[in-house]
Amino acid sequence: MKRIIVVLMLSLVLLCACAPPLPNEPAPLSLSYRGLELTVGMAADDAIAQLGDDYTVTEAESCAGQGMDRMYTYPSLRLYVFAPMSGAAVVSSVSYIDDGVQSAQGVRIGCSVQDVIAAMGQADEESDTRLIYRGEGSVLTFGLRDGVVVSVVLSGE
Amino acid sequence: MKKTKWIWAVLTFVILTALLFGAAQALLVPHDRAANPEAFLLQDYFEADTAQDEVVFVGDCEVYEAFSPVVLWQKYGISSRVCGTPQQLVWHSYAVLEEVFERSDPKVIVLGVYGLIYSEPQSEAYNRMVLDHLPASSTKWQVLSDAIVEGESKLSYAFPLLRYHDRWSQLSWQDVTTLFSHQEPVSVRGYLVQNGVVAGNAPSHEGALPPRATAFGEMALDYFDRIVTLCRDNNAELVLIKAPTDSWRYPWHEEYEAQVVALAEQYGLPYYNFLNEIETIGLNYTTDTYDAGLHLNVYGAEKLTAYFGKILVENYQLTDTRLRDHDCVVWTEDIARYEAQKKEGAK
Repeated sequence: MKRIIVVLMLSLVLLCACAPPLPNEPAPLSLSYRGLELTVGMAADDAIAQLGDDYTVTEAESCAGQGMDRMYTYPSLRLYVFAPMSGAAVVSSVSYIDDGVQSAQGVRIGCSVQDVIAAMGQADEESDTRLIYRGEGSVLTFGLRDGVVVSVVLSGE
Repeated sequence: MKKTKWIWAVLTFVILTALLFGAAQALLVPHDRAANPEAFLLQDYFEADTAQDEVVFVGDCEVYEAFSPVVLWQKYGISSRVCGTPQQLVWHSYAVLEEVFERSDPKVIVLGVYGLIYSEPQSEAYNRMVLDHLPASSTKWQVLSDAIVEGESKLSYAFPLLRYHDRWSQLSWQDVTTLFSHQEPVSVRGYLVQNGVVAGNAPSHEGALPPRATAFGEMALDYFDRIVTLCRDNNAELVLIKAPTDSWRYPWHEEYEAQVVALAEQYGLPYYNFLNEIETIGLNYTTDTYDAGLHLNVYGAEKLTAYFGKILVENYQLTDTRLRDHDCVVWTEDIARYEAQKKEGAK
């Protein structure tokens, strides 16, 4: 009897190992910069502290007094931050400005559509002007012109 | 006899509960106009006598920070009002316009087009600034279904106590006194005076995120279509406008402009993009903005309004109400408040 149970359990383990992965919730998407994976909703103060101080910042008050929007411009990257009236500031969007930076998958401005698909897999939405990948609470958009990436933006859903 | 007593007891209980509920609700809904005047812009509208309004503006901060009804009246005699609220989306504007047509017979409706770029609900705060103030109606209920964001309850718009019940710990004596005193409007006919000057650069969306989508969304276009129909059914001309602002925070992308131009052509509507008229209007972004170019201040709004007023009188049959005694009395009060706010600032 014990043998049968052991065999059954082993079979079960093997079956699980061979089965295709269960459809999980999509993972949060990120963009790399200076060794840091930037995600939407991450604590902005931590990110800014780690990215260095070679930035310029522009800010604007939300027109209904909901908080402050800030745009930090680094070499090759812009970090958009929302600071609510109460609570911690969070990253709301990230965008690459030029080809001086690339994502962890090796995608940068100037890549071809084929490069992006090869690195990232098939997009959730495709058109002549953009490739869109959806993750948990975030969207990564590659703006295209003539089949070439002209913008890379990570934003909230 | 016993049965009658029971009925009275139940009736008394129900009435007392309703009274308590009503009193608690009146006390707990936010009252702090000074801290957040934008939240009370529409309340100003519903507390005013709006029957004479011939021009009504709807939209977001691109209308309530850009057009001064006082200037329209002083220069052209046009009786107008702004029904704008922060991030007023197209479905909000539709719900507001239904109420506008219930209360008045405007000849021209001016719609700010920036809201068209959003086709999904954005935030509860902006919903509240419109829908909390609208009286109960089937339109409000229907728009609520489309407007609420995750976690919001439609019922809380009918009974705000359900939303604000946890404000009891923040109650102040001011909340109590507000209930029993007359509240001055936060705006002058819906225009929120901003007299600060923070210099900015000429309009540009350098640094802005790219367009939200390749095309305006289905819900925005559906409500836009309803607005067109509503205006036509009420014999009002619909005019589309884009305020002369363009920034990293509120970008006006070429893609947006092309779609508005196409919509205007499709429906046969006039469209004025004041970004194309900056020099003619005489705007100077070192003096005419209170937040480095995101919005116009009162000096910029006065220039824009004077320019737009001329377009209105040249193209529409509007009454010069400066010649009517009744209107002069009403406007004297509004002008005095406008001049005071211009001197001191509304915020």
